[in-house]
Amino acid sequence: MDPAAFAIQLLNGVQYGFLLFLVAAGLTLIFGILGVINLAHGSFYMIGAYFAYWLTARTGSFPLALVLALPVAALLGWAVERFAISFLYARDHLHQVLLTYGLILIFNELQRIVWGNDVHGVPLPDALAGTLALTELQSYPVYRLVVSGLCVAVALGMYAVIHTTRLGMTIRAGASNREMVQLLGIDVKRLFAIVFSAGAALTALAGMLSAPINSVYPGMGESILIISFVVVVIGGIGSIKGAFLGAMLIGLADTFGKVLLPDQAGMVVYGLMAAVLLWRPRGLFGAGSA
Amino acid sequence: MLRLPRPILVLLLVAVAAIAVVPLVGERFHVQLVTQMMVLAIFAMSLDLLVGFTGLVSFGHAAFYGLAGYALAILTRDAGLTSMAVTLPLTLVACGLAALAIGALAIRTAGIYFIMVTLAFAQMVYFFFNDARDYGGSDGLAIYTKPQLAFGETMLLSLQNRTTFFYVTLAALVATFCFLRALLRSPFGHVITAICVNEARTRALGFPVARYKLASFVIAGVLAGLAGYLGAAQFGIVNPAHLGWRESGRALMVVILGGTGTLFGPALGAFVFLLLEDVLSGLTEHWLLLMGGFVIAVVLLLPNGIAGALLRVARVPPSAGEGARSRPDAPALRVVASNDAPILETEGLGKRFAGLVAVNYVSLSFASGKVHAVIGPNGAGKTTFINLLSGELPPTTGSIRFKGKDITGFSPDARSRLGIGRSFQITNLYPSLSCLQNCWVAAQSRQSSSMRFFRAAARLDDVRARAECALTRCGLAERSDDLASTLSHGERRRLEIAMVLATEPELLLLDEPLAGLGAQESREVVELLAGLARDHTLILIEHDMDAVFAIADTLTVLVNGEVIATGPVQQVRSDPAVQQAYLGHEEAAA
Repeated sequence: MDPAAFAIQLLNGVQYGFLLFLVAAGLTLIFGILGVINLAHGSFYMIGAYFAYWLTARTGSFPLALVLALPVAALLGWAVERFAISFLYARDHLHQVLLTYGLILIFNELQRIVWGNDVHGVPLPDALAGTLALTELQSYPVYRLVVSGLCVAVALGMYAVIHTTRLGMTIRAGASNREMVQLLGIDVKRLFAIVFSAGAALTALAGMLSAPINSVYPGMGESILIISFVVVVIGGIGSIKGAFLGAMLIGLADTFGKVLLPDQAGMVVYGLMAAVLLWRPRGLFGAGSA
Repeated sequence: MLRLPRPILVLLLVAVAAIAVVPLVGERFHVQLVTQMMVLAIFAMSLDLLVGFTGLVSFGHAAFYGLAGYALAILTRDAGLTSMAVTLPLTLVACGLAALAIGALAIRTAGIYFIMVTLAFAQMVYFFFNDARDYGGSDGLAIYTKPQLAFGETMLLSLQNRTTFFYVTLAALVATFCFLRALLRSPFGHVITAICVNEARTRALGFPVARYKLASFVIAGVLAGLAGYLGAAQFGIVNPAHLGWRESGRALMVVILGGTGTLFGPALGAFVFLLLEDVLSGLTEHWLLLMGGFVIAVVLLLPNGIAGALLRVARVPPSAGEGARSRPDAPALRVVASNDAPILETEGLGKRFAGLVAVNYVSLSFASGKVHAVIGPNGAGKTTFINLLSGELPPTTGSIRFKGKDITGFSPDARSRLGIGRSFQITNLYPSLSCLQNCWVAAQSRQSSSMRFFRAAARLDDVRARAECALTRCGLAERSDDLASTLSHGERRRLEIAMVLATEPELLLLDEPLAGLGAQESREVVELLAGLARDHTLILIEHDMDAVFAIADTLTVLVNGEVIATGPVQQVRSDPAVQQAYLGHEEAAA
């Protein structure tokens, strides 16, 4: 692999890792703080992508679609937490799995009713559609760099919120000891609602950003869900740092796996996860309780 | 928990009879649908063995289902084998070996990590077949010649025939159900149920937990293989989707929907699930919307699934204990002559937790047949010391000898089998089992036959007698059929001790047996301990000084992880250093 091709794959891997991080961060926080296994998390990714497609077609502008769709996704997350998930806090994980599976069926079917079964592309504005020439033959799409940049900005913003604000302190406390936070007189209901809708919004954002790259298609939520669970488990449940590292590992392993081992590409990420868990049964940064 | 109330038994028999007449009255479509339901029911029951009875939630169970299909397809295509007498056993062996390999790695993890590891392995198998062009890639393989069973020239059965296939599947369904019921009633079944309810306790009782989990995982894999064999043979096709996560997820849904840990529930769940799919998809194109609503309604309204609702109607709690009769006579379990030879010795025993020295070079010798009390202020390292003795924690330094044998590297279950029993400070029982069953599991840990699968545990008179004897000694004979969760705090402490007794230990390690007890309850336990001291060696940690002085022969005082005094109670009690350092505080505080 020549240096330019290597650089392209490296950038692709990192960019994929960033998108995975947006999804996995929400998933790991929802599990760590709310104690809920949310299978419907991937549905927000799909919904984000379809909103991006639909609003871009309506408004003619992809950036405008992003701005419009983000609050809608957060609101949807809030509604799902309020009207479905909140009944499950005291229940067994198996019940959570079953209920959120029911939600997946409903979201998927709603998607089919509203948008049908076709695969859709999302056009980019001219300013983002260009490519940067790396060598005479190879170039890199500007949009992918923009996605990575945006993700870095979001990640830094999250870091700032989590490490400098009161809300962030509560979130950190909740991720390391959920029961204790509930006993400390913190308004847990509000905290749960905020974490869940923020997680939904982040995931929807990832779906929107990926739409112009990977197009928009039915079932996209489940594939991202499974791979995000892999990320969360590799990193250790409840750990944002772990989610970030896991996302990068999986992003790079998947990207380079497809280039270097095209025949076994699908197995690479799962093999990586199995290896990590056999080495550290609670993931890289797993807390004492899970 | 496995006793089926009569109405349910009748319901199941009627259901089987109703299924049996389907080929006589139904159309081709119905026969096919019911066959699919039966295959899914076998698959779901095999998963229930893991999820409901062993406490292992597998999200990769379809790997074995799909693998069986591939095994059959490859045997038929590449080896030209069509006889069921050959292909079925080979397929099941292949699934068992795969489950052994995957299970050996996966059971190292627990909880949600186990869910994900099983998913990871299943996805690896999925991608292996998806990317293997020799095996049809994503299109999968066709099975052109269906399995058959011939004797010489005479064809006995051919799965080509739809009706034959139907009855073979029905037979497999009934056989699987009976097999699993027998398995769960065997000593092995009792142990895996115990693991499901309280794994740490089961390990402390001396069971090699990992081996039981692995055995359960392999059995479940083989039965999933049986379902997969039939499923692939029915439509003559196998493809990667059969072993993907959607299939695993669907099976999990069927098990939860039906009711985990009931066996018949997941089987019913399979019928309801497929029937609903069929009915709803006939109603509207967007039937998955209704299916999703149904699933959510079940979670919210029927938390224990269909079986839970049925059992409630039949007025039996989902985990009711099995009936038992208690015996009033209470012979001693084991007679130990009291002599001064040490039963347990520690030498330079130490434990360090990242900078904190909890136990520092403790060298002690505990004489056989005596009651040894270890006291010390909070944080003195007493529980750590007990944990080192029982093997819960590995020591940083030093060694432990039991009856002269070095046991430093022994696991808690190995120590338990040697005769060191321990009770826990925080009561550690099987809340959803009856008192008798709690002791039963404990007594069974002394039986080499626990891994024996097909002998109803209820018939092991010896085990039962020991369980009852332990209960009687602890004054719980009256409550032997009550669930442990219904006991008072004092009774729980006594059950805790009864369970240790049922393992027939020579040495009992008791971690604060009086913690949190009221005056009356406390007196009862002290009496019980004094009785036990007649035929056991006791090492106990206790805060209640009156109790310690009443029953202990020797006293060891631990402060900051170090022994500051040890010897006969009176001598240590009058030791000025001890009075200064410990007893003085205690009395001043009191």
